[in-house]
Amino acid sequence: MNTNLPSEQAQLIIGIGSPFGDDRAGWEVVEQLQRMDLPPEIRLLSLDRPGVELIERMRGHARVTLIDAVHSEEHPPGTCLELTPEQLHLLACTSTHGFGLADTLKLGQSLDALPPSLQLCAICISPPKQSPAAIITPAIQTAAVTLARQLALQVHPSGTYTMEPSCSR
Amino acid sequence: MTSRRIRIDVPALTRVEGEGSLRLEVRDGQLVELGLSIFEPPRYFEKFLEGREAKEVVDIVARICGICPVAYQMSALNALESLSAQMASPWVQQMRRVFYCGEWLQSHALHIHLLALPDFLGFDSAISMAGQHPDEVKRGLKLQGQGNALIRLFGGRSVHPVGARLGGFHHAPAPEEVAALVAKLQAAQQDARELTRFCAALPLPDDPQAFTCVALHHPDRYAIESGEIRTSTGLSLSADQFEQHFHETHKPDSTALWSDLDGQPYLTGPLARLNINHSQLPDFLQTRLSEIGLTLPSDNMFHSLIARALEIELVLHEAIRLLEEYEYPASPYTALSLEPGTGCGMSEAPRGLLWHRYELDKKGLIKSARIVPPTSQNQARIEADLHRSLTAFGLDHDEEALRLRAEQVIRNYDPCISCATHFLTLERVET
Repeated sequence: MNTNLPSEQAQLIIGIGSPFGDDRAGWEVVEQLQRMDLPPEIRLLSLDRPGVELIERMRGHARVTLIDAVHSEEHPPGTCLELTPEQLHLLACTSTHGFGLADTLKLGQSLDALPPSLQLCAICISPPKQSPAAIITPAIQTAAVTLARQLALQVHPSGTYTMEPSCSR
Repeated sequence: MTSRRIRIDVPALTRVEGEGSLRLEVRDGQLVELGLSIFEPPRYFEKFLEGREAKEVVDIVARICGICPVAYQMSALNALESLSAQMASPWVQQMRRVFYCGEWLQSHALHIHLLALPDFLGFDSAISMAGQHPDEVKRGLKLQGQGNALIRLFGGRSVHPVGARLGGFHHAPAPEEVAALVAKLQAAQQDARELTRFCAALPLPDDPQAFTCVALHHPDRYAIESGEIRTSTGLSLSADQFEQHFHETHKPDSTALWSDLDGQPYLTGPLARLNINHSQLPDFLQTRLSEIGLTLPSDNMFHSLIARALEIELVLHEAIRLLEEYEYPASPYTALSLEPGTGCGMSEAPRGLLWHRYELDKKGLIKSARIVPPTSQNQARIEADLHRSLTAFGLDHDEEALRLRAEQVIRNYDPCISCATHFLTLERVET
């Protein structure tokens, strides 16, 4: 990764999550991408429930991709979705803080502070149980690998990443 | 006869996160029932710590709160390191203060701009406020971002940081990293100045009331990361003496414990700190106090907002002062050996006093732990304040006005419940 590249020329891919269980889906995608030989203008970042700080972290980047886990009753666990901010608001994000991802993006919109190109990728997970698992479940792990490959091909189409079935839009 | 039952639900409160509610009942213009309930699920952190090695504590307690993890880490380290004959190095002590400055900066900036300001500017949330006051919200995000950057400098990440350890830090930042951040902090000072003036110019209610203040005091500096307890009633206490005067009790309505100081409610947090330690503010902030016309000690809880703004200026000044003299250390920590026994320690979390006690056995394992966070300490004071403030405000006001005033009163304390910006819903019953 070339960290000297000006932010406005770089594309930022941010995995949002926390260390445990399926909530780490966004982090898992970023970890997969870190193992791939991506072009230097691709910046990768894992954030632990950043709240409104996400707006500052995205500032100055022309293109940002966000990946987060969402609870959805309509889709089986492991489904990858590409969402608009409005669609995101209808789903329950896993953030336990007052300002979840949907609220943060709404605030960013009000401030006209979102990047010109913003892509939102969600991985559907089951609602948390009373004792959430410490490790990611196989279905979510597979989804994270699939999404990572898709994103790698998107930013570097000439790359040789093995392609899995595509995510829904 | 007309009675009103007003129910206020708080869907995102606790020591960390959780739920709470407020019940009000008014009969014949009198407040006959008022109950602040916290129904957060118990989190058992003290139990999780039992049987763990002392060195693990700092990383476990960091996960108690997403907003003030540094406070939990520093109070734990103060308690555990009191069991060592050695001390952390002066470099570590200074950098812990800087680390903590980052937490005050991010937490106060978040509270003022995103949680409290909508109340005073007439909006139901920061999102709706942002359209008409984008510059204020952007200023808040910038200041919060600088605070998080300071936490990351030492903690590796801003949420649940992992850089602190017994005796110091795992890693010392490179001087060039420090210099780059100092430049950004210096640039933020103008925003902080404007913020204090902005907060002082807000039409804050004039609501004088009597309350006891409790804060740490340090003989050499405005207490943040260490100090001894001072109270406005004249007590001066070490961490070991905390339990002689401060007590926690269960209440039927609340899963969080209620604290009292010798049987009475008390205030901990920015206004209590400022009331007790204002003479230690640097000269430029003494000038600022005169400029904005704030006389201390203040008996108006709504001045908590201004207190947070002043503390933002203070921590920027402190972090810059300490980092301008930054030198890369020979080691970022001192290897400490801990003796078996009971160690108490405390520090000033953004929202007030945070006290820890650990009992360490001969094998170096935690035998018992006790943590007293600021939000539970302020619960009794919040309820007393609500009773007095709502009565003074006028119980004949309509529900919307009463709800807003109740929310403002609760938010003055910056409890974790105010994570949700629109957390009170009112249910009025007339009989």
